Amino acid sequence: MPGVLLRFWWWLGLVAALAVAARGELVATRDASASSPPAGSVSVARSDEALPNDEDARPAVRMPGGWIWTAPPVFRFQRGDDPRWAEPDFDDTAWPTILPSEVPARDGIYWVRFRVSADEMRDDAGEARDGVALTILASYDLYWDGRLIGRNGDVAARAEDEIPGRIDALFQIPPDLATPREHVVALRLASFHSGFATPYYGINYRLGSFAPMIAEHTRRSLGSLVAMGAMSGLALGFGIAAWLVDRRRAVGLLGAVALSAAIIQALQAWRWLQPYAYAWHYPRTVALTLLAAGLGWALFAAVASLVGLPRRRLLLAALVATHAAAWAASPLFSTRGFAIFTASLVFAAGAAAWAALRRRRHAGVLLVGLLITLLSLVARPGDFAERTFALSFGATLAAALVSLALRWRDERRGARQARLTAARLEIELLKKNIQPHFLMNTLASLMEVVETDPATAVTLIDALAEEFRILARMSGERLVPIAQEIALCEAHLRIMSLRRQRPAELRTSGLDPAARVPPALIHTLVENGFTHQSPGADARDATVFHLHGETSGRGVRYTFTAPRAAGEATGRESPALGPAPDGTGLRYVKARLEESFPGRWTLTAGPVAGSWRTIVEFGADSESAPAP
Amino acid sequence: MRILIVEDESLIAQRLERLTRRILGERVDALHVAASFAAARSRLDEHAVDLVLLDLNLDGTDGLALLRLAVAGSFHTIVVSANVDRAIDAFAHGVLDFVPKPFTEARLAQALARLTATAGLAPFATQFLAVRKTGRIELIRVEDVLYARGAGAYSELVLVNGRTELHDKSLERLQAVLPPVFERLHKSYLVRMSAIRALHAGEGSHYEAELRTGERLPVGRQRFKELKAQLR
Repeated sequence: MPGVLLRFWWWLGLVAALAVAARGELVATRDASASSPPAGSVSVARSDEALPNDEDARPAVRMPGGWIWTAPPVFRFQRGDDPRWAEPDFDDTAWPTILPSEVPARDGIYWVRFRVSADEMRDDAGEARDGVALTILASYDLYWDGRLIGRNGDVAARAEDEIPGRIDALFQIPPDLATPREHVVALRLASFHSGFATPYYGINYRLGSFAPMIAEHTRRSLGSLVAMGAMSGLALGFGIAAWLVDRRRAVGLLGAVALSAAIIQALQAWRWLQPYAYAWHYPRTVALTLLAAGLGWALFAAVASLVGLPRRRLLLAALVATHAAAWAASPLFSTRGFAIFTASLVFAAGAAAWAALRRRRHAGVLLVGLLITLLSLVARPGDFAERTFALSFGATLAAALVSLALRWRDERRGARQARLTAARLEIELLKKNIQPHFLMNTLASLMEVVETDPATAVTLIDALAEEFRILARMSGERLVPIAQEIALCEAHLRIMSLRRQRPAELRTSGLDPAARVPPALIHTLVENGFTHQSPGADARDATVFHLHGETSGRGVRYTFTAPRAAGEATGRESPALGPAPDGTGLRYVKARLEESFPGRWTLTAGPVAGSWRTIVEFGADSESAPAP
Repeated sequence: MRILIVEDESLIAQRLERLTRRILGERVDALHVAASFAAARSRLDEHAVDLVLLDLNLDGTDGLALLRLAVAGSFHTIVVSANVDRAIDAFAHGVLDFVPKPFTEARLAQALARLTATAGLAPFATQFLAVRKTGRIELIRVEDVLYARGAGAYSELVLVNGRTELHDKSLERLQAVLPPVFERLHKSYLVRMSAIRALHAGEGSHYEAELRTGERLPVGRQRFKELKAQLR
């Protein structure tokens, strides 16, 4: 089995390396081509949430701080409202030029004018473009060469009068205006409903052929929809597992992780499936960032819990603090989200690495999955929460699923082993009492008293029946009440007293009547006590065993003391008769203790001043002891 | 007959004593019960016995060592034990019988009858003879024994390789535990039949058996006729 695991990790590692290499190459080629942007697809914007972040279609230069830079047209800006400003011949040279990001919000009506070059108007085949896609956090009227070709929302001078436009809008340029020459675009804008602090959004426009652009608009949702479906399925799976299969917190947390990812993808899809008013963009963006923080938190909590990381609370608090710091460090939501999510992944990968270094089971696969996601993210920061993100984050979720499945497999094996052990111990318990030394000697004694002393014979049969009755009752149990165990010992002592014609008794002290012990635990010690005891020829005194119970740091401690003949103090001088001194008896006791108190018991035995003392200590009574 | 019972459980010891007395009756000269092997040994050091009824748990090495110690003695050993699955081991070491617990009077009588039965009745394969050496017990494989010569209360085992070993048991007792392939040629000789090459009738009533080794052993007159018939 370890071979298969090893191979799995190896493959996962290879895939990770290939993925990272491929992504690195992709970024490199894009950056290289960015210096000469092809005509017809020009936009200027910050890579804030207001933009589609569609880098695939827009060759761009990645700037420090999350900027995307392509050859900018000159944006001229003017506050106020005048219908003449729409005219193509209007002389706007007196207007100040601005960067798209300097467009104000919640600041009355204002105009922006810019020119589209003849080159931009032609596609690669030389045909004129007749579609323009705009993404602006504002309501606006769009004038093309002085003609109003589209309205998005209702521009007004007062917030209560403005009807917010949709975040993404696509307009068809009338055929007579879609000519391959320079055109003047004028926008009349109002943005009272933007929730963003200014000026953190911009004007994004894109030219293309109208019909394909419609289709493309719809297609954009597909990746998110597929990812949402996958994440929802995983969330449902983890949820059902957490509910019905494995109550461990990590499973529920992984469900929360998958659910957060599904909601993130749903919010992404929403934009393209059901274009919303720009007023919604701010709450949506905040929700996305918060979801990313929650997802990251749950992910780290799940990984930490899975691998058994110590000081989890402290580290979780540290992660929350890191998230808060990331939020405060940048006003840009994309930067915030990226930092928050990367920090979570680093924390989670750290936990997995910690566990992998300690050779914790199934930590390696988690580490590999997290590293794939982390490296993909670092290689392409702008991709956070976008379409391909589902793929790279899928590596983490898949790894978590594999790790969990391996755990379940281990546990199932452990449970099967435990069942086998329980069955074996039950057989051993019964065997102890039909083993020839005990049963046949008892029967031999019985034969004698049947012939010589029928009354004693009846007593002996009664005691024997009692011992077997108690045993039969105990046989299927893992733990039995101490009173039942003492009753078993007493029945045994009655038999032995009769057989040896010499009284034997068990004196108890400090026993908690509610306490439970593995079946035949004390009984085995009593049996061993008879074995260890050297039968002196003239010994007619009673054989007295002592059992003392007390609570201890570990749980319960039982001290069992058996008399031991003086000549036997050195230990090896053979007791001559009876079963082998140690062996099977103590092995049975130890197996029983391990069954019910895995790793939480001790057994020590040794001579103490003429007697043989056995001290058994084990954890508090727990029927459903957790698997080791 | 002097009998020692080694049994730590008094009821069983009582049963062994009671039944033995009933079976052997007047033939019991002395009967002692020891509750442990150690007690039995000190008893044996001071008193000669003819039979030891030994309760022995043969699990573990201790049991086997004790068994060897017992069978090396001059007395007969009857093991009385609950561990029936070790009976073959006991027989291999040359005990007279193995009585499984619990036992009836009839079964014990059957075992005790073996004491007085004519020689060579052992229905089981004794494989070893335990020989007491200074401070230890040595096991001799029965198949290595060529013949045994009576030497008063002891026997001399003559081995195939020519060595001789002294055994504490008398020739009679030895014969009781040896397999039937050993036959009495003479009151002082117990010989493996397959070792005899020829029989010689000498002057007067002097009869001899020639062994494959060339050695010649005396043969009783009565036995000579029987053997001659057998070997023909």
